[in-house]
Amino acid sequence: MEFSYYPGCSLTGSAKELDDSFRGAAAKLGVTLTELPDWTCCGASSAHMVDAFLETALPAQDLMIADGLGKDVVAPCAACHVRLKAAAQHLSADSSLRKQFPFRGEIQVLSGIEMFHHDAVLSALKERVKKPLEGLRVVPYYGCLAVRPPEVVQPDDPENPMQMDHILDAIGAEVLSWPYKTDCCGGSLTLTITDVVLKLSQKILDMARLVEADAIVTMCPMCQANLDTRQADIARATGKEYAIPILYVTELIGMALQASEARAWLGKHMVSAESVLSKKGLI
Amino acid sequence: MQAITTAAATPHPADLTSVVNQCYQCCKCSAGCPVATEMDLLPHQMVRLAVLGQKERIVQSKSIWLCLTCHTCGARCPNGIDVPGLLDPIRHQMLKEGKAATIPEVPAFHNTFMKTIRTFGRIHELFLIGMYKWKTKTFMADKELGMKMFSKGKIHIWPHWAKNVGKVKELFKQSSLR
Repeated sequence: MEFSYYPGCSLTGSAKELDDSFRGAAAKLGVTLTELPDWTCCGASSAHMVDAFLETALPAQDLMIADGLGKDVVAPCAACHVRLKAAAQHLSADSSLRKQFPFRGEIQVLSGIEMFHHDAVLSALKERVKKPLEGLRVVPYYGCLAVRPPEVVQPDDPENPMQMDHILDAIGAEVLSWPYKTDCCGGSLTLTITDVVLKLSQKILDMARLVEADAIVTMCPMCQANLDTRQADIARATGKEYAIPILYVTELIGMALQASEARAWLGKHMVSAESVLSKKGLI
Repeated sequence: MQAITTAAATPHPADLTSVVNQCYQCCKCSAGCPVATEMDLLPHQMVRLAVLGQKERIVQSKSIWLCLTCHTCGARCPNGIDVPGLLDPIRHQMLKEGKAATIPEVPAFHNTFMKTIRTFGRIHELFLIGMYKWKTKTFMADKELGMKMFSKGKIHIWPHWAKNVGKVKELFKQSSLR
């Protein structure tokens, strides 16, 4: 299988381990990813806040590059995925905009979860699992932008999405039922209104603890960064201890496929997963 | 007072006014909003004010900047009203007119984010955070975290200029940020 690949900015910096594990897991499953040449920022959570033209124009730039490659484009970052998909929809609905940004609209924009949930990829995953993650209790955390706005993202179910559950199930993890699959962690305000964000993130961490999860699993780099980096602040503010690993689903896929680089990916997180995973005999 | 309509140049296909007029105040948006407890105007109240053409009340609220744009409200609204979609054009206009924000850190962050895109074509996290902290004089916040992220190789010192940065700069010239 072949896809175009839009890493987006955070995967070159704070979410480098998502980029590495995404490419690593895809390669193990026989998926070829071609990075969009000369891609630029999609505008993320800021462009739509400040200017309606740039909201579409910035991702349109990348869509046109993807159009040229002629393959469906995968955007692992939930924000990039929403921006690219919303722009594709704006362009197909607005012919005058399409004159400036001649996007043919023949390619699809896929989220990272969708790509690994693709029939052929998921069956390859089921076949190739070498070390099932038995005994690892995980809560799937999709976050906001993996499911909303639903008319843009078109998820399987905006309140109870299941695709990441299926992936985690395929690699043998114990997927727990919990109520905060799609609740907001506050990521978009983490640098600006931090005190409010700490409350939202704490709520999610506390629920994961209540259901006795070993780890929270996500694909969203903003959720991962926020929930991972803010645990120290929440611990300071509450006097409670917080050490819940926030893992990318692609890291777990890589572990189940026994990718040799998996340990290096995990080493990038603030809250270490080492002790949880070694207790379960997984590393 | 002027009723709220989307500017002609916006790419939003929906006619916002006719959409917000469908609101029957079931309050589902406010029930699901993760920051409702922090807000001075609840999401359903902002929709009502929009229907009444009282945009100034929204402009002067904290809520317009507290909104996380998580779209929980819009996903659950029986009438398809997405509050962030209603607030975006109001925020655009406020920024264009240079109106003071009740929580200035939020627009300061987004403006810095856009400046970073304009400069490099991509986000350079150190530049973004440094500029934001300079603007808001919040140098000490998250210092420890920043050091830890740096040691994990998550923050790069040197920016990467996208080859297409020239095209990005052209797009900015056509926008309200020119």
